[in-house]
Amino acid sequence: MPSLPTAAEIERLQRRRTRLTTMQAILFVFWQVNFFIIPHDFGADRAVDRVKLVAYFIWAALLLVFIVTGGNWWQPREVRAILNDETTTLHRHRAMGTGFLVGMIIALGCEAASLFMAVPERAAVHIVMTAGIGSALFVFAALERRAQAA
Amino acid sequence: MSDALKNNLREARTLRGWTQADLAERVSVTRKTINTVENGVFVPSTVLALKLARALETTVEALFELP
Repeated sequence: MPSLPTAAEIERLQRRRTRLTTMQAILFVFWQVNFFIIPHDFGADRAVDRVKLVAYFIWAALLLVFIVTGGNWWQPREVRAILNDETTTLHRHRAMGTGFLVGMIIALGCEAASLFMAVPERAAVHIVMTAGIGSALFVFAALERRAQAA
Repeated sequence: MSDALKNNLREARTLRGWTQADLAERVSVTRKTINTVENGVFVPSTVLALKLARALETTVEALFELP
């Protein structure tokens, strides 16, 4: 059995995860903001729209699995256990709670907006997922950064 | 985790001349967990408290106490 990495190596891995989480959160949210700024026909069913939708779906699903599991999937089980210790698990749970709350508030907003204007279902789902997953990633990164500060 | 808990973890650790990373390695957690416990930000589980006490060769009661 390979020996466990040193505390310095674990520190490096968790700091990298925090940096990647922040970067992914920024990219994910701003990519979708861009999606709404550029005039877009949500009802369109062209091949290019399907490709964009599938790409978004895969990206969102990967980020969701990341926030649920803590990532570092390629690392040995023992290393993942250290990287997902009690504080990390707590931070992920808080992040998921925030993501759920933000998603529900945005969903309520979409519901309210639909009383006054047409809200395409694809756009509504897109907004709710982006806000929910994006906020969860931001909260997780912020909590991890704060805890890592000496 | 809002319940306050006084702890003497930093004192017990420095008494042995260990860094947060040293203690983290001995109980298989990240350094940030040791950091947050020492700063009173995070209240550890019973299992982690027992592991910390064992690593520092002391008792849980000596490490943690209610304010």
